[in-house]
Amino acid sequence: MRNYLNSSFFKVLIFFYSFLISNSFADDVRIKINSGQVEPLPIAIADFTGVGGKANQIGRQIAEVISNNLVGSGQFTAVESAAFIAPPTSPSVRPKFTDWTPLGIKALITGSVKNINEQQVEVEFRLWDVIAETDLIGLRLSVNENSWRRVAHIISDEIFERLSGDSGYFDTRIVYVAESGAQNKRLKRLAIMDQDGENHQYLTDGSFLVLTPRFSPTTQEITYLAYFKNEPRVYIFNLVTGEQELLGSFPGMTFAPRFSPLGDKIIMSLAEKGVTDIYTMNLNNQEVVRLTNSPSIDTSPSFSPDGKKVIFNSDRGGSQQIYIMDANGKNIKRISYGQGRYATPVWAPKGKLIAFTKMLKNTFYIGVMSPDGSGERLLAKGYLVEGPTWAPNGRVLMYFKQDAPIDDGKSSSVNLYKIDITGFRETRVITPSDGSDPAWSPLIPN
Amino acid sequence: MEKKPEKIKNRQKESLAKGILNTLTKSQKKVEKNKKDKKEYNNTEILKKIKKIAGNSNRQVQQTEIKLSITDINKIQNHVKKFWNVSYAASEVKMVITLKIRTSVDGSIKSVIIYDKNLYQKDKFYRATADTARRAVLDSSPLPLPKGKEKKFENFLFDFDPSFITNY
Repeated sequence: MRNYLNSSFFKVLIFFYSFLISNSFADDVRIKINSGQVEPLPIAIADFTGVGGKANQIGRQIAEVISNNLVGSGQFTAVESAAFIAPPTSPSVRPKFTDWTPLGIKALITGSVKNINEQQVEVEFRLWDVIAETDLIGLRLSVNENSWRRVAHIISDEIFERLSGDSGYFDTRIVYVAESGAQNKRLKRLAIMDQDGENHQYLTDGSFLVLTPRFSPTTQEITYLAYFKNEPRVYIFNLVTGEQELLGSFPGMTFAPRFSPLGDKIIMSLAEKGVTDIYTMNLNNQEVVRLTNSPSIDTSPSFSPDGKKVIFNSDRGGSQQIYIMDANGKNIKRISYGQGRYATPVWAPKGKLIAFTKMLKNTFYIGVMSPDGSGERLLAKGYLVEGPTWAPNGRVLMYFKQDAPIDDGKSSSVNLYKIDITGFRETRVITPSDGSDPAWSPLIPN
Repeated sequence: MEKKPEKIKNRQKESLAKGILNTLTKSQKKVEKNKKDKKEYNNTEILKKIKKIAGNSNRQVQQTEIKLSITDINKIQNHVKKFWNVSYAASEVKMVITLKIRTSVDGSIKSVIIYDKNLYQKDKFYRATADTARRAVLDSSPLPLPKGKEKKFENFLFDFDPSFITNY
């Protein structure tokens, strides 16, 4: 027995017993934290280091684009680089975290640019959690030096996703209607640019009026409405080939063509004999199907992401409100019940929200609500704010805004704005001329 | 007369035999008694040994039987929630994020471990939100531990619940 007592086996048993006791005690203290803040995260973006003047310049530019992207999302604030104590020399060098914590920084981005040859550069970055003192993600890309801006957007997407969990939306484009000239002789051209307003180019020359451009959800194609000899036509513009395809001429009035989630159909409203109803057109066989049939005005249809439902606005109840129906036109139900009139509903890519334009007491609003009409929140307002479009991650909206006419009676300029869905940060997107009716692309394929 | 001594002798023999038998019986009992004593000695010794080896944990159990009040818990909750800065994308996380915490007596955080490593690897929303919870705990160091109850917090768990973020 004494031998047994002295044996290591017995000691192990006793140790296990003690461990069980201490462990059960550990588990009996559980503290629930069920509230916190939803505020921009303070981050620091150090200039990407580079050997040589050109690499240095590209490094600075990449850091600047990343900073603009992340801060513009409304989810981050960037600490001024002048406050940095000792900027890191390379992304592979572990930062001295105690240099960054006093600045209130939670995450640090470091990077470098190296020349591989005359045209190619290697860009590397690393994201650090300053509080947990660990690296979160890193990436190395070899690209043509002219593509540095796209690299900056791709890196921004990686950082955004790692810190928020959401997919990024920075490597995307915006198509919109560029407006210029006098109000009575307005030139309206189709234009495209990066989501931050860079790499701007015109797609049409202004010889005919264009309206309501919309991106295909699956390809780099745009559908839009053009008035050719006063006849509305629906076109598809292929951004890769630059070719335009005429889908059809629709006498009377046609409004707001928009792709289905699979990109195989477009949905639009057509005015015939004084009534406006909603139709779909199959892009493979041009078959047109009527979805609504009422004496009212039914416009602005938008598919749900799963393609099973359609939202639209209609004055069938007396005032302009948002309605939902099955994709075959059945089970029509009103969902908006707030004060004022509602228009241009657009289903968010994730399906949880619907963005809309609201008009109440001479003021326009951009807002969001759930697909059942609950939880209405107004994010932006103005003399005229209209035409919301979702970023592909469903966290940011872009729309156009016009201020009240100036004293001499002339219309004020029309500009594009974006806002995150908390309504925290509204940012103007700079365009060469006035801009309206924006549409956001899906993420650009690599 | 001569027979008497024989009788006596016989009696003596008998008593001698009885005595021997008695002695033999007594000695057998003594052996059993000794065995019992030895057993009792061994049990006491085992108990002593157990107490000696497991004594510390017994003392711990006695100490940790101190109850935490709602005020104790609220004080820590209110302190930590000030540091939890979470992205609205955390609305995608449909579960509680558990962190294992080790603290010093002064409330300073010795370590934070994200409990569900599997989900941390697989789910990007969980990973990002768990990181925000870890930062909140590290930022909130030292924790305002109730006096005299610090031992309770040597090892404990935080459950971060992001369900307060809705409509995003």
